[in-house]
Amino acid sequence: MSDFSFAMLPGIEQEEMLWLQELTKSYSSENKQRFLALYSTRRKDPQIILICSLVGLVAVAGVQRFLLNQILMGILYFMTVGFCFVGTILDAINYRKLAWEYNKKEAISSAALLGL
Amino acid sequence: MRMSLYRKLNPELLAWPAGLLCLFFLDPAANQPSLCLLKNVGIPFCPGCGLGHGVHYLLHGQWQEAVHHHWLAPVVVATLLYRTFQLARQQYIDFKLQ
Repeated sequence: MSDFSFAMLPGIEQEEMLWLQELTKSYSSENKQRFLALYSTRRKDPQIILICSLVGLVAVAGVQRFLLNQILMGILYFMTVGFCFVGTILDAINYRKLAWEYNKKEAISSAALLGL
Repeated sequence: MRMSLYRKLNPELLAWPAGLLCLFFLDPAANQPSLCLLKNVGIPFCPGCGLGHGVHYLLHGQWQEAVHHHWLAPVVVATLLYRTFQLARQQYIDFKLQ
């Protein structure tokens, strides 16, 4: 388990990598591996969020919000065609922050789940 | 510093309050041309039709009028306000940590 194991996560950015290294600083090598295994299954790839928001321009809007567990926002996006496309375009621009907001929560809850 | 502030700020945090403010000040009774893209393109049906008017009336305290225009108007206002506060809290924590 090297310090660069997080780099294999798809679409990972420097900010996320540094944050994860800080979070797992005090973990033993085995715990780090367990954390990575759990986190990598719960994490959402930012690129998926981008693709789902772009789908909103041609077909069903709001899939990205459902993926990010924001059910109410997803329903509103669906009903209003992504707030008349404004919301959809905003999400396509802002997809990294949306994904990171979700992933941060998942990282903390995976650590809590493992009792770390 | 200014550049990093701009990069840190979540655009969603500006968009939702801006949208609500915009709907607050637009008068549906004034017969202005529709803002809706679908209507301007010529598609008459949308599940969100009347939502803008509904939100306007709700923000002015006319509950019945709002629900009459679109039954989801209260849900929209509540959800957008909740999301705004959620983002504002996260942003505040982010700035405080720096």
